[in-house]
Amino acid sequence: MPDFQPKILAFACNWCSYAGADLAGISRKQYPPNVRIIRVMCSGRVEPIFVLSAFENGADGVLITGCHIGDCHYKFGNKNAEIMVKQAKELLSTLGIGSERLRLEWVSASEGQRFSEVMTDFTENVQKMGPNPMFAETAEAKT
Amino acid sequence: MKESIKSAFKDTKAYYCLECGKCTSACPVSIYYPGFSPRLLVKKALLDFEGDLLSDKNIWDCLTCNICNDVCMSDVQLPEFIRAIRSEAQPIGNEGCESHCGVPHAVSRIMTNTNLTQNRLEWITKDMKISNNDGEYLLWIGCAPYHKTIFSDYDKGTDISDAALRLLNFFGISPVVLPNEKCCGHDMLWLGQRKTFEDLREQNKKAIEDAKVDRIVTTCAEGYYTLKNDYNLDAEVIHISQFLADKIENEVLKFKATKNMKVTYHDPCRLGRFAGEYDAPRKVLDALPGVEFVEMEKNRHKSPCCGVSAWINCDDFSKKMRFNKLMMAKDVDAEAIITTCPKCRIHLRCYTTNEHVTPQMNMDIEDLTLLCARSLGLLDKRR
Repeated sequence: MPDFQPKILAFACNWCSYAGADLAGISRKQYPPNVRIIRVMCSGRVEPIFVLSAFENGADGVLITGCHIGDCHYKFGNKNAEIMVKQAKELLSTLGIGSERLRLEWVSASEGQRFSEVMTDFTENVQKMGPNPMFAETAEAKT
Repeated sequence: MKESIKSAFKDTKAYYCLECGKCTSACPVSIYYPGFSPRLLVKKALLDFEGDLLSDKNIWDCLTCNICNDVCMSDVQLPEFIRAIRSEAQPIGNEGCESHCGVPHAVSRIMTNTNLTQNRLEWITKDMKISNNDGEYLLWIGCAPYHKTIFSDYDKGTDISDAALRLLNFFGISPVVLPNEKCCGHDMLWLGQRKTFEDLREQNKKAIEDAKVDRIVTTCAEGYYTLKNDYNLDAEVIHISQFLADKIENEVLKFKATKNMKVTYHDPCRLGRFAGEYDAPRKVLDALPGVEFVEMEKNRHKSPCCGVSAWINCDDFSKKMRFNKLMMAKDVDAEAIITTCPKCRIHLRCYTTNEHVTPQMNMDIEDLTLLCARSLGLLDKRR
């Protein structure tokens, strides 16, 4: 389905990744417009329920970005995010949505280039995976 | 008054309330939180304070443990009444506080989607026998695969299903296990989300009927009561403790004493007060060698709830209830509390593994199914 435009939800931490997204914008790096970014104070703020709700409400992929390990503004918030993502991935795979639709990436404030690369790569991946299985029929009917 | 509340009055016999207040005096919530009174809730509804009642946050504090109905002289079914009020309160924005960030609820809701194929049977190893299509027995797994993920810190979840399957295999039964079994909908029903429950029930009923089984064995007290009471199935629903009690009565089983311990039994509300099954688990415990069984001060129909139901409103009061339960077991010098409900096990274990608890509170919380499988030598010693 080449025309399929996935809906991707990205959680970006305030201190690194959101600034990284800013830098990507300032440096005019291009990335697909499928990504909707939500700013959170720390990647550790994201809970499994955020991910489940996103899929329940029609997201095709969820990306969580935070500071590199050791760089967290709150010392170990991103360690918590790692634990959380492991749990959420397990839930998604048991539910049959697929754990590969959730990704955790570390993007620092100086990595505008990397931010756009991560977004492009994940969007392409989700495009290959096709729409969220929960809404597979409605997505097919639309195209 | 709304029609639906009127009919709830009729169905639950709330009109017969004598305002004697026995329910409030017996209620495990009211003991710690005097602001909550089952009697007052019924009175509010009777006096037609509908708006007031529907916006009352207290309706979410009810544990639906049925102890009020047990002491009620007029047989008012208060849990069902609260359930009806909840389903009216939800649309106007009065919702309970979901624990675990609402993950168990979201999982149930997502499961109503018919497009999804779950991967829930990964815990089944090659040495376990299951049959894919029709057989006599069906083993109901329930939410165990999800508990395994959500409560990974202190509860393995599927270890009960594993033990149950090994037990059934031991008796020469290869049960059907549904690969795409949905949540039984118990929590959704008691939260007043009738629509979600009915979606789940419809899908489950179809799957069970396609499997053409005569008996459904559950390892979970809530699943047992829901399948038996709210599903209208042709197949007979039995709890694993009833299955085991029946086998112990009719067959000579070679139990091995694993280690000597003194245990007590916690009656889950769905198996005890709701379904009236008090004897089967006790019969099994009595038959196990090396297990000395003692009753707690409040047992059988007086057994207090583990503190939370349907994953809502886990608060200080609920923690006090759990503390009380554990102290009650300590008072009779029990080393372990045995239960037959995976959720009771999770709630009590959550309390015992809590870092604030002193080492003196150390208490094993275990499931009857596991204890039995271990006694028959079906599990490796590590577990």
